[in-house]
Amino acid sequence: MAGIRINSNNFNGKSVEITFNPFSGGTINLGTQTIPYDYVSSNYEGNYSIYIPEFDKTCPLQVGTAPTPTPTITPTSSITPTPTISITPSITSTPTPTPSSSEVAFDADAAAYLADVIASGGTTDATISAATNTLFTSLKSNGLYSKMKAMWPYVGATASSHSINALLDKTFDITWNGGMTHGVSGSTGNGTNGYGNTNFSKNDMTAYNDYSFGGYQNTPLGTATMISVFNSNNKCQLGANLSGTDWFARSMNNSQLSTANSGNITGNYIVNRDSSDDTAVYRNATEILSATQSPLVGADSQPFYVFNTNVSGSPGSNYGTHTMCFAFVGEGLTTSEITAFDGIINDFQTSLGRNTYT
Amino acid sequence: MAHLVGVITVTQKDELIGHEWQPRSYFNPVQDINDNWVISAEEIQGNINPDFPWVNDISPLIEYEPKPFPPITGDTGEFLGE
Repeated sequence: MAGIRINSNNFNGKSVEITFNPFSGGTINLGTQTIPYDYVSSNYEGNYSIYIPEFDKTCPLQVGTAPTPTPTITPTSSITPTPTISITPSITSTPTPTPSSSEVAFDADAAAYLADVIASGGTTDATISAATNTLFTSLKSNGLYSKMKAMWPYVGATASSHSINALLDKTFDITWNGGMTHGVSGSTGNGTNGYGNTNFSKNDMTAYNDYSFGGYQNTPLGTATMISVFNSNNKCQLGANLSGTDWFARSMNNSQLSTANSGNITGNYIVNRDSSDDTAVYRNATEILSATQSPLVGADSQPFYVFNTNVSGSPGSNYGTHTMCFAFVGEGLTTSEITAFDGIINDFQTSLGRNTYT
Repeated sequence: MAHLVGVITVTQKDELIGHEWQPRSYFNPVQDINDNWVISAEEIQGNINPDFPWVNDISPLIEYEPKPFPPITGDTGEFLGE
C-alpha cells in the first residue's frame, strides 16, 4: 500500500488536525493525529490542511501535482511508498509553519524562542504561544526589540526554560544556583541559597551611559535585590534594603537612590540611564527615583545576578524569596519608550495570568 | 517562613560544587550561623543527578539560620542595602 508521511522538523510529537482534499475531489477529514503521521492510501495526492492548535496555525501542504483542467488518462503510476514530507524547511531556526493567506504570520523570533523552550523541556500552550508572539511583535513594532541586549521571559515552568535568553544568544542564558523553584508564575527564590547568574556583564553593554535593566516581581521582594551587580567598576542594583523599608537602586554609580518601600510594592521595575547622565527608576511606568549622575567608567566582567547581588564575584548575604516573571538588560530608553515597554511587558504578564497591576 | 536545609560535610560540599542537581541548576552549599555547610531542601528533594544519590537521603532537615553579615557599605561609605 502507498501513502505519505507527514513530518516536521519542529512539531513532531504535536497533536494536529488534518483535513485532506484529494485532487480527485471531495474532502476527507483525517481527524486529530500526532505527527509524524502516516496516511496510508493509494489516493494520497492532493492538498492537506494541517492545523496545530497549540500554535493556532495552519500549515498547507500539497502532495503531487494538481491535474490540468483537461485531464488526460494516464497509466497507473508507480507510487513510492511513504515519502517523507517536511512541513517547514527548519522548525529549529524557523519554527513557524507557513500560514495561510488569511492568518497573521507568527513571528519567527518568537517561534524560535518557543521552540527552544520546548527543546529544553518547558511546557507551552496556545495561550503562552500567543502571548509570546505578541510580546515579540509589540517590541518590534515599537522599536524596542533592537534595544534589548538580553531578556528572560521565564516561560515553560522549568529551570532550563527559564534560563533562556529570549534573544537566543546562549551566552546570556541564566545559570541557576541553589534551591530555586520554577513554575508557571515564574522563578522563585528560597531565601537560603537560590540565585541566578545572567552571565551578562558591563562589558556586554553597548555603552556605559546608555542602558536600562529591570525585572517584574509578582510577589513581594522582602529584603533582597531583584537584579544586581556590585563591583568596583559596575554598581547596578535594584531591590529593597535589609530592613525592607526602602526601595533602592544604583545605576552605574557609587551613590544609591532610595525611596520608601510602602507595602513592598510588586510590579515592573525599570532602571534607565541616558547619555546626558540622567538616571531614573520606574515602577509600573511611573518614575519613583531620579538623579543626575556620571557613570562609573572602566571595563567590568562581573555579571548581573537575579535574586541576589553579585558582590565582587560572589552572591551577597540576602537571598530573595520573591517570584520574578521577567528580567532584561537593554540600551537606554526614552520616556515614551519606557511607557510602551512597561505596557508590553505587563500585557504579556496579563495574558499569562501573572500580572500584578492593570 | 522557615527555610529548611540539610547539613553536609566539607568533603560532600567539595564534591557538589560545580555540579547540577537538575538541568541548568547547580548545587550551592552555604554556611549557616554555626558554620555548618548546608544545601537547601529544594536541592535535597529535587536532586536527579545520578552521581549524587546520597543527596536525596540527607536527613533530618533543619531550619536555616543565616550567618549575621555586617552591613556592606559602598565605596563612599553609604549603606549598600543589599
